[in-house]
Amino acid sequence: MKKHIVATVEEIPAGEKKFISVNGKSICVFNVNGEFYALRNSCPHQGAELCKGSVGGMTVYNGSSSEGFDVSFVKKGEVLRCPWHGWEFDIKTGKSIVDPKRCLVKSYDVTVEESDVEMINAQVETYLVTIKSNYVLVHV
Amino acid sequence: MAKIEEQKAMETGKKLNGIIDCDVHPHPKSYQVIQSYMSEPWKSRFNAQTGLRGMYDNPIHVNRLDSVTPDGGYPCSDPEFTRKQLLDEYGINYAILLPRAFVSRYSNPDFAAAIAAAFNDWLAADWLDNNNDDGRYKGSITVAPQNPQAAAREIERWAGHPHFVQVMMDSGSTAPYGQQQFHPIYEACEKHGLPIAFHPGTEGVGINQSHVAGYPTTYMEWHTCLPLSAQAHLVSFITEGVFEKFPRLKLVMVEGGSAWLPSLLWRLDSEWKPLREEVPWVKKRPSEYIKEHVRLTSQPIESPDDPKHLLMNFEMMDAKNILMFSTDYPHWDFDSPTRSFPKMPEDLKRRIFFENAKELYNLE
Amino acid sequence: MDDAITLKSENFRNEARTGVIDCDVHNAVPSIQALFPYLEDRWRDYVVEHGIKSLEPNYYPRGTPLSARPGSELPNGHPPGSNLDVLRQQALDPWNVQYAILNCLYGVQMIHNEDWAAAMARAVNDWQNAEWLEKEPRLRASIVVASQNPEQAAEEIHRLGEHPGFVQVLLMVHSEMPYGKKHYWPIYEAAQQYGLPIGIHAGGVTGYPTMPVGWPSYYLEDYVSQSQAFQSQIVSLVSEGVFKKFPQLRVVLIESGFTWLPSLMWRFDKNWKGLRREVPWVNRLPSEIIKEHIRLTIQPLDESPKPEHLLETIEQIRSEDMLLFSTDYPHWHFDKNEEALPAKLPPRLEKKILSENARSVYRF
Repeated sequence: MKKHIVATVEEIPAGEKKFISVNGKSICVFNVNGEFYALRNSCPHQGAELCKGSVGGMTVYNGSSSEGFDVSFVKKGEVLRCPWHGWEFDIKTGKSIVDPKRCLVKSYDVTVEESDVEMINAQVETYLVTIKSNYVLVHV
Repeated sequence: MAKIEEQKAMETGKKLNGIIDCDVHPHPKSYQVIQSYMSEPWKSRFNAQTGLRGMYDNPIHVNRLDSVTPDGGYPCSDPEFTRKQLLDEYGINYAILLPRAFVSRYSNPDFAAAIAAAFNDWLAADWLDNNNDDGRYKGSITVAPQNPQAAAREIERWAGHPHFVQVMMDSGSTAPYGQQQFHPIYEACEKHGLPIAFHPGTEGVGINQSHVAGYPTTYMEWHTCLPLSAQAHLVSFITEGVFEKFPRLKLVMVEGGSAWLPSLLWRLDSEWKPLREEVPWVKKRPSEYIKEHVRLTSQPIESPDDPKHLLMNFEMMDAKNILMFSTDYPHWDFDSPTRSFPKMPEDLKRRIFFENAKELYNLE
Repeated sequence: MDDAITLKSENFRNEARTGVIDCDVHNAVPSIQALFPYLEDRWRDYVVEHGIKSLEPNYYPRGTPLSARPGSELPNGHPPGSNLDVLRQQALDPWNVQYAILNCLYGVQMIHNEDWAAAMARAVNDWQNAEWLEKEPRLRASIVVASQNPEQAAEEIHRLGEHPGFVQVLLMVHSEMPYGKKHYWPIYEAAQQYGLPIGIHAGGVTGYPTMPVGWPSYYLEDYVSQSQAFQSQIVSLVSEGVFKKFPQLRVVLIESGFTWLPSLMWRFDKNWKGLRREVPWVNRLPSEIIKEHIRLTIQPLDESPKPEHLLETIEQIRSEDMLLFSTDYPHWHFDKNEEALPAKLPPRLEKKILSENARSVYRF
């Protein structure tokens, strides 16, 4: 496993995402409320570019109420919905909501490290790095 | 066949994989485009602001989010982008286009007919006569069932067009389509060698009967139950003797599922035995009409946990002869040509993905 | 090899048949006067003054072959199933029945006056108790309720809920609204309280087309299409969360086959995966909920010309607990008793269908 510098922290504000390509794999880095997560950009269901889906929360059932059911909207900004069939995935784990054990998208460790580019031995030429900064690194 | 495909591939510069997609939904760039083909008084009455049904709209996204055109336009509104994202991406030889005008929901038959006609004019201009040099787009003539004689006239208007290959009605209806009142439509279809296709979408909307007992609460219920209207129309077609009256007529049930077919036919055959005196024109077992007259499109293909069960089902329903592949592009429940089916024997796959539709629509 | 299995199965059948539970037998109200001893004065007067002769719902039009198996017609012109002795001879004795569950089809659900309907339901139940349950220990009955007013229906369930002769609450498949709607929940709450499953039988309210696309022309269509209404009711019950709210509740689908179940479950599961958020209380696969809470009686058998297809369909259901034996007496679906069961059932499954599955659903 190798660390790959993919962005500066500032480049992906909370609620945003960035698509990258590592070793030919399409990967997407998400900033969820200040924390970074990376998922393979391919839905395990039928192969859609998963990370092009919408990001939101999810509606869950809490229990029965006198009127019917008690429902709440949770995990705001943490749920990725496939752009094709709408299957939901937890960005933090890559697991699908409907079948977390068997249907999950590959997730990658992400770290934020203060460093300069040369020391990490990264091959990202697009960043002109001469000063120390906080970088987002994906472990692939 | 292989030769023609190679030739086509050379012309287009793309590889063709022997796929005919039997359910693709082109959309006007805006509803003003449709309006521009209409005359008064309908032109002013047409609501060009929205084409939505207004109820039972999808709570997630009705279209694939990645199908928005590069200039931000409505999904499947740009023939070039659809060619790239769908046809070239998967090597699809032909796409059968079914616009969604939802005309069966209107109470006024003349208004419904005017909208259907405008959709046909638009489809011919934007997708069939133009932007179609490779001839891979084949269209459906939209007709409104409210006035079958007018529908027959609309079929006459387009008959002989090189790229209209079938006639299409919404399966949401006020009466089962086998009934005699609709026969002028089938007479025109048969005369011109055009299959009649039914497509869901207006069930329980506008003037139409709900396909469930009462009205469903959610889109999920509404959508899960859509095959029920397909089943009912098929029962009606056979029971009313439509295929006896129009022996060359072909019926295509689009996007209504397919795995239900064996069960329905067993039931129909079983009950026909004691009750056939009631419908003496049904001269053979109901299931015996299927292979000659009926085709089903595959999307959304039922997906049992155990793919073996689907293959069992293909065997029971004679999928080899009656099932036709479709994607439903650009809609949310799109079936990928490469990912939606389990592994199956090559000849079966070839029949479902290509041959059955090629034979039905007389394609090369 | 097949012969050996069949032979073994036959032996087993004879053994297993001591204690068969027939989950669908129809006792008929011989005439409206038969209910008078059980009908409150006000409503008896109402019926007489209005000159009402019968609430016979005509689900099985007189003279159609399905309506009566040979020998069940009665010399006095009373409807088949209205004579206890004949029913004993034809339905109970040949099968060595331990229990038979009576589903009285009388048109109380068709009455638009809710109070009158509830009164008629009470009369039918008291008549069932006095004329059937008290006279024949092998019989059990379903509580007839007028579902037009769920509060009153629940009251009737409370009135009879402790009575050991009543083992089920009977609803008809064609309803004014889908049965999952909260409107109907008082019925389920009461049923669950007494451990009574809800039986849903073919037939139902007037004024709503019996096909998903409108009114059929022929009885054959009407009868075949009942199974589509059943499918929509399952989708509604699961989607609305009835089994989440009433986790002990079971629903028995009566007289509309079962072979359509796998295709429905496959489609329902697939849709739920994308549309779950619309019904968050459905927090596991719909097919799992269906397998836990839904049961189906086997007659009429939707038979394939190939007997193995029926066994494959049972395999596709992926549950051996769901099917319940029924004859649907006095309606005519088979000539020989052997034909009441799918051919070549594995012995263990046969035993479950003949009695065990029913025992785990009904409080005998």
